Amino acid sequence: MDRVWDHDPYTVTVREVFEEMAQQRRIAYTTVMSTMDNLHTKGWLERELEGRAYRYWAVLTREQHTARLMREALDGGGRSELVLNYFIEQIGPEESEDLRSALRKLARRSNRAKKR
Amino acid sequence: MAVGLVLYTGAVLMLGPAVLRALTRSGMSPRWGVAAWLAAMASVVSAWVVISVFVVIDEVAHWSRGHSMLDSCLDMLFQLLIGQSGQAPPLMHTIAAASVLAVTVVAVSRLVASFLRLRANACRHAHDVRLVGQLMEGNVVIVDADVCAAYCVAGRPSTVVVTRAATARLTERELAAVLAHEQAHVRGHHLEVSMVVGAAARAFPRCALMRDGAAEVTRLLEMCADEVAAKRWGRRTLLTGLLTLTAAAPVAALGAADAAVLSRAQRLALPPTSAFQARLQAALAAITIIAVPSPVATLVLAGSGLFVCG
Repeated sequence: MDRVWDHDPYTVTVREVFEEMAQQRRIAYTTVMSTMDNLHTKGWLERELEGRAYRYWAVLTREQHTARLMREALDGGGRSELVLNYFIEQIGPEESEDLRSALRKLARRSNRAKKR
Repeated sequence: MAVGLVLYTGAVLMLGPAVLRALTRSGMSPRWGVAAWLAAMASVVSAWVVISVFVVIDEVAHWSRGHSMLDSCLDMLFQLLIGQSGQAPPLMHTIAAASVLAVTVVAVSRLVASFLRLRANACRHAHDVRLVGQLMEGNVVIVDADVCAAYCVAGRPSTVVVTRAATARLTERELAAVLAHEQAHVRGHHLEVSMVVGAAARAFPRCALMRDGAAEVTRLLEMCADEVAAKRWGRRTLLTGLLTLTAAAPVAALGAADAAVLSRAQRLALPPTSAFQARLQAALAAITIIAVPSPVATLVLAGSGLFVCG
């Protein structure tokens, strides 16, 4: 996907991607082809037939996908067992304000304890 | 035997959540806390499976002679309902046994389906995040997002995700501590455990033991990971990292932190005394040790009983 997103103009063929990647490492044309086909099946790429090969382009930008993924991972609404977050999902904004102030107090206490 | 097991199951289902919550509230000895909750939950599920298997076998064993335990229960029920002595029709015995089996099969398959769905979602998320972000060493992916967050997700392989906003806010040591915390989750298979209890909570939403168990186990797993990270990077570093992430998150996204964060922060800031911890550990260990083998022991006893009497 990096190749597709970074490519200018924004549509690519398998051969173009392959040639770019082959410059940096050993990779088979068929690998590139099947990966792009896969991404198309999963909905990340759209394609249209151009002559005998497909021309691909990204359905969503990197930012759009990122936003979607962050929403999926971090949004409280309904428990998310998807991830183990560094802070855990659950309460509303009023409570989180209480929490913040409690944490600030705690930080001050901890600082004082350290200084003693 | 089966009656004893039914009573045991009932006791755990009704008393378990309250007792376990009280013991694990402080979050000390989180490993034992997790073990106790998991043992209680697993023993209830396996007890139910054992009971239904026993009922079915008993029914089949007494097929021609017609007086299995289930038959006696049904007769009693019949008497209560109809008010005259007599036996419940044989067809009802069959239906009853079949229903018990059906309920078990449905319950177990719901549990498994729930787990598989959660795992599929997680794997897809892990795969997508790798496409979108920058892969670093140690299966860490940096994602270009404005929200300040760090999390881990199960997948092939399990992945730790941190946002660029988070890397900007945290100091180098804090970031290392937070990443160590997430890596501890991955290495300790906490993700899988979390998915299992999460599946149980979704499959049996009205069961307090499963619901509370899922919430408490995930909270305790966070403490376990905290311990690992704090050992390497120090409690203070981890605490300030946690506070930074919590403070930096916008209120809506934070609608996430709960008392768990506070108790974690407290635990990091003011470590517990060892005497209290030892007593707590002993209590949790006792629960685990009793809960785990109970269904199996009963099955063994019942099996030997069947052989002797059958």
